[in-house]
Amino acid sequence: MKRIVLAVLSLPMVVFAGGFQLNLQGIRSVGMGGAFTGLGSDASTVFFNPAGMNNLTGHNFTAGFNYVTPSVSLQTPETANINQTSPNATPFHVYYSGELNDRMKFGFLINNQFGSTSSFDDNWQGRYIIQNISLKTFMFQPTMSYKIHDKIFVGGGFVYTYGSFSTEKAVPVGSATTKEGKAKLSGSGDGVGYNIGIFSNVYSLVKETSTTDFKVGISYRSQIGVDLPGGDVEFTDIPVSLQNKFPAKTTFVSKITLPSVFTAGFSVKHTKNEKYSLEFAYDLNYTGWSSYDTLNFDFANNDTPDSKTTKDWQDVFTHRFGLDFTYKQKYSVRVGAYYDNSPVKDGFVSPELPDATQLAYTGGLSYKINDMISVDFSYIRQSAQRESSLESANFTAKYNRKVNVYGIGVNLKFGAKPKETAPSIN
Amino acid sequence: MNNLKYGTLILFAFSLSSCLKTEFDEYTNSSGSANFSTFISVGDSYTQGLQDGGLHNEHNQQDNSYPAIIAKQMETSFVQPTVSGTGSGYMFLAYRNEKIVVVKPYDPDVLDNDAEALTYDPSYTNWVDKTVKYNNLGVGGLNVRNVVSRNTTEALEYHIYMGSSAPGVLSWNGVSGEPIVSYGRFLDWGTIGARREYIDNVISSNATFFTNWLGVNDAMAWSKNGGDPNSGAYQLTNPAEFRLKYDTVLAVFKAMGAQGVCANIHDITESPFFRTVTLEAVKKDIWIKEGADTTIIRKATPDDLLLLSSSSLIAKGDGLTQANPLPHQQVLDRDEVVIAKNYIQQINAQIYASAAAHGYTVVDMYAFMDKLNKGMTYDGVALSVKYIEGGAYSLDGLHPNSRGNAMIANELMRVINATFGSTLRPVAIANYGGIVFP
Repeated sequence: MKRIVLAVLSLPMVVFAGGFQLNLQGIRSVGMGGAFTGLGSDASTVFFNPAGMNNLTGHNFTAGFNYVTPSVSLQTPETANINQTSPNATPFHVYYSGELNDRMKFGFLINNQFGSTSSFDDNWQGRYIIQNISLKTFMFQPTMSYKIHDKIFVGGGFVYTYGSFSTEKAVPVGSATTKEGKAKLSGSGDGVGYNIGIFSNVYSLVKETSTTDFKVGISYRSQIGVDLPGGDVEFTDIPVSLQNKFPAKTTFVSKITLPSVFTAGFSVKHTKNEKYSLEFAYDLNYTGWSSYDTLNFDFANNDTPDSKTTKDWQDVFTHRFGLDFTYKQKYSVRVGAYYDNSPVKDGFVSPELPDATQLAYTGGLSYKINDMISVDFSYIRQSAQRESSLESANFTAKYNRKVNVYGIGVNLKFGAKPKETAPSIN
Repeated sequence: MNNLKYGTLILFAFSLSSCLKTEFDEYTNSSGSANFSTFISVGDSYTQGLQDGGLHNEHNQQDNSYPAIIAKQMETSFVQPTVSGTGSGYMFLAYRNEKIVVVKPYDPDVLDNDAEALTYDPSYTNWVDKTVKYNNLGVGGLNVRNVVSRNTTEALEYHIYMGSSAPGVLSWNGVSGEPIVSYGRFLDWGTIGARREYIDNVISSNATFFTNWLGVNDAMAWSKNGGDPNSGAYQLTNPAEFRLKYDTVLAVFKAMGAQGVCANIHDITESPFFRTVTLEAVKKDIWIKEGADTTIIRKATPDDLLLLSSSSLIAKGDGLTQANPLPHQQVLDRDEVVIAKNYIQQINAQIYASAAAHGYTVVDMYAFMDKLNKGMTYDGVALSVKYIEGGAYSLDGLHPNSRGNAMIANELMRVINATFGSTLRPVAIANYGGIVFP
């Protein structure tokens, strides 16, 4: 297990809409369009809604990863076709939720909630804007959940984030022997935040041959400021006369703010005996991308002009829908869709992150091997086009992006006591 | 289990069918109603591809003249009289004592040339084959009044003694009928007895398409010499004569059935050559002598434009006292600035009128260069009017560098497309060289 995790850690991530948020935090959720906040049926609820842990009994492990294969092409007025050379990515997640007692649950998570990797040929037309960029984040979140009342749970966790960032771009200064310079920035840092939620099994309609459960959940993941206090800057191929301005080595200070995410969701599950169940889930995310208003790099070397980029992103809603059909509690098929509003305004669309408002489709399967172990598969299909500019750089392009995401996960469950009847409250 | 297999199969089939082809189709270019088969450009040093105060090509400066860039996008052949080696000699940057210094070209008339100053290449004295038909007919120093002479007096004054900024050794040789300005030696000027004019070289080009950016030098030669009209080469061309000869050029194109566009004249007084040595930058009082026709000596005001060439004099201590003012040739004083600006408006009105009379479109270079001077960005490269750092002008502070030429080419192509329905693609500015730093 450890070895797998380490191998995964070293792989990059790819942006695929939703700003640079990776909405791939649970394989079952992905199959249902990313909805899960009002569902809480496996350990990934530690992320989606900490309060949902009170739905689970015993010890629950969920682990999974996604394989993201993006294909992005651009067209500028000057160049008919430019392909991004971004690598495929494998963001992963590990969740645990366990029982302390009937009212208290404890859990934790490790996952990649945000990340992006974009790369281009070094000598492409927009090389003075970006050659490549990579942001990776790792979250660790110890979490508690408490049953206030039979139907109402609350939960919360403390989030520790480690982030690493690197980027390269060309510097438009040349000499007789060098065509242009290059700037390479790399740094890492950490930040903290929290994740809280409330979950309610609102209502169950029990009939002779079927039950229908209504559940709702609300969660809030706070904004996290990842400080990059001492990043390294390397300037190469700089003419001798400009090396005071662009020294071979200096350092930078920066901060990347990861946005808050507020989610309200519900689910309705109709179970027919032991034969089948049909479940519908809906999540509404409100992501506070307006926190990403600027990206600044202050260089330690006084003569190096500090870099300030206005991002001016906006808060956005995302709608997520999913349907799960489970046969004999063993085989599940899922379909879903989500409508993702791009946080990037027209005039601020940068080739490193050509985000577009889009409707994407998802699907998934599960197979329950036995009461202890089950496996999940998921798939996302994205296809988006956008034509916009980055006004500050006077760069305009048409973007065409298609992404396939394949996910696989495993769930382990043990130590669950047979269900007791809930104590009556007098 | 069957369900699972079935589902997996569906999922697999779905993801296979949704392949990831995102590539855009290649552009298909069309010339619209234009015929680009024989494309020529007429103009002065701006058209010839002069940079850094000389014609040179060691980093493709001449290859990247704006008409050569346009021709490449037209996919038509374009022959330029390309220099080799140091060409006509040019300015360059050196790094000395932790400072960037501009090294001027070697000048045989002064004693204190820089030890590293570049002179013309030996090949420059016979840099051309006059039997070749060149497409770039730009000639450094060419004024509109020089394109055709109306009488012998004009022929002598305008044709033979065309303004010269070239080293003396390259001047008129009295035999082959070449003009004094060496930049025009690639054209066939006939003999003294049987003169061929610039316009004759245009006529024999049999162009199907042209760009015409004549007229810059008519305003610039006078201005960059501090408004000194004493030498025949540095006059402001009389507007009526300007119009007459501009008409002649367009009539010639019309007669050969050539399509094309003209460009008007930008405000050269806003170039770095006039906007670098400011009182703000010098941080001293500077004494100047007013224009050629006055003997007024006074302190410079911010409205007086000290020329880029005055910086070496100021460094030597000239202009710091009333007794030793800057010579008037080193200053475009405030009255002369007004004269130059008004003159440019005047001849632009003539260009518009002439083009309208002959049915040709005018590219508003005046507006375009004004935008550039206020600061422009392309694909993340910021360009401004600031000398050296600005990145669009070459070291002489007047002529654009390759990057600037690419921008001018794009602007001309934009108008050509709008006029003729062609789809010439703009070029990526980032792919053209700026200043060569030491």
